[in-house]
Amino acid sequence: MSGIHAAAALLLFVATLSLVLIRPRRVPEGVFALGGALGMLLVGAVSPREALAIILGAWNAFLFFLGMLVAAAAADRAEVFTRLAGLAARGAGGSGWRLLLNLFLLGSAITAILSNDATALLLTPVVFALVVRLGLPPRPYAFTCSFVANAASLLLPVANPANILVLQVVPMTLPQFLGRLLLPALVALAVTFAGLLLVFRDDLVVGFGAKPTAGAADHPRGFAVTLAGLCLLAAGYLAGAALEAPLGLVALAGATIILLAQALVGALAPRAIASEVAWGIFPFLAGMLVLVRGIENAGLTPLLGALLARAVASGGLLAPLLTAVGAALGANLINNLPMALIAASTVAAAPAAPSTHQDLAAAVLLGVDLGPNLTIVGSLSTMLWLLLLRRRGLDVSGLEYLRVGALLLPPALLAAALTLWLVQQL
Amino acid sequence: MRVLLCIDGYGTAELIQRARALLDLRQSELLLLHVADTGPRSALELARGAIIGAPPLPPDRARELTAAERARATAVIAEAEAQLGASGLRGEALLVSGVPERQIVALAGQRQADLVVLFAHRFGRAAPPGPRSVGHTARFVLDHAPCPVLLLR
Repeated sequence: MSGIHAAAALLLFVATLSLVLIRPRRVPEGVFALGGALGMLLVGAVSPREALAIILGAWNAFLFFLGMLVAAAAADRAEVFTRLAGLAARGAGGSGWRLLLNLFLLGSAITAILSNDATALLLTPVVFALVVRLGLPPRPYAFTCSFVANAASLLLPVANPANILVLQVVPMTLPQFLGRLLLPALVALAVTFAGLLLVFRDDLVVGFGAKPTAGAADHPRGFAVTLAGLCLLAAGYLAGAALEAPLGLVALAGATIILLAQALVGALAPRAIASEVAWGIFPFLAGMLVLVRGIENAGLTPLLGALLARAVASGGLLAPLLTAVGAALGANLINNLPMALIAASTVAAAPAAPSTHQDLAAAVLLGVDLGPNLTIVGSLSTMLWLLLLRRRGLDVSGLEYLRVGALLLPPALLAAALTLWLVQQL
Repeated sequence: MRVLLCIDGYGTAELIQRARALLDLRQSELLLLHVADTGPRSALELARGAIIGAPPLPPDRARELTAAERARATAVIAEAEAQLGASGLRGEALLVSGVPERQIVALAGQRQADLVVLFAHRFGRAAPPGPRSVGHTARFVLDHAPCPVLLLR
């Protein structure tokens, strides 16, 4: 590719990501991503045939997102999250910090099986309403849901869409994934929980007296069959990963079983479920795949990959730390999904052995999964915008996420990266 | 004298009792102000918007949230009215929503309060002396209130 083509590809990439971040007139992100992809075709950075091949080649990721999002929305409509949050409150015995712990564990479990988006989008509002009804200050508990969604994303390959995108480029079996990431995941969770306790220690003194009700579901049988379906889905993920079957098929089968079971007991609400699915991720991902291939063809990620390989050759903590911190910062500058694609492409381009690729991919996952905890509300640019608004005296509660995130993320990320490095030395 | 007492739903009785021990409130008109904090809810919406393709909060969930917040605020005001009645003092309970520190300052100005009374920290929590002995809300009110402020700690 000529220098002009490469420069055009890079410019298109930066322009598209800027539009995605700014979202003028609240146009869905997918529109910009597809527009950018079209631009890549027009400047000749990616051929139409190649673009089609990349998108079709990612069928597993697309099916996975579809199954996962539908299963999570179906669970929400069957009041699974409301009921489980109610149980978490009942088990807390009126104590604020025990409720925080229970919700942290519940959020981890939901993230592990239904991914971080389920926790962030579906569990958080349910928890918010619950704690306000209990007369508790909502911040600690709502923030816990937001932070645990990212912190628990390393537990399983299915716990974060970014994992699926990275593993698509650098495949790992379940033992290879868990062998590298289970300990760092647990360390990141422990550090994040300790951080939340510290930050919110004053709010957690407030207990609650009223015995929380579990919330009567409209369809008790709908709740029961959905919960059973989710357990089946979790088992399916483990079995599928162990047998190295495509997780997209497992997720889709799981979602289908849940929908059928809900229909059988007369608790299926297809419209309500469809309205809770983040459909915008599909065009966004399709566009991003083409855009990232564009800068890959332009030689950008291979260049980064060569630099990374030199860091690896120097040995020690440098390569995993650099990769994890770089991916985390990138995830905050742009979104973590495009960052996952770029980082995976960089790792794959680094001249190194397959097991080194997997080690680096694990470090990338630390960054793109945990990284968004720095700026929960999206990106550093959103934060700068909020800072500007605050100077005009507007309500900018989102800034509090930055305060908490800046305190929570660095120790969690560094501890996890150190653990990953130690695990790799064994 | 018109006294603005800032309550957050935790320790309303204690606030009235402590203000009474320090001030002669028999001739005063009390305004018990509760600001329903809109911050956590808008932070929730902001965080939602950061997720690619996130649909808006379903209407039933949004209604649930609003109902919970309204019920909480109403309970705080009902308790304030009950405490006021029990104290035998003259006054009223007020509910507004927004950013607490800003609403307190604004209301003190609008109602021409002669004095604002509030705890140094949320939940009436006591903190040891030092630079962190005054919480965020109290700090802002001290800095911006148009009248004297009585800080309880």
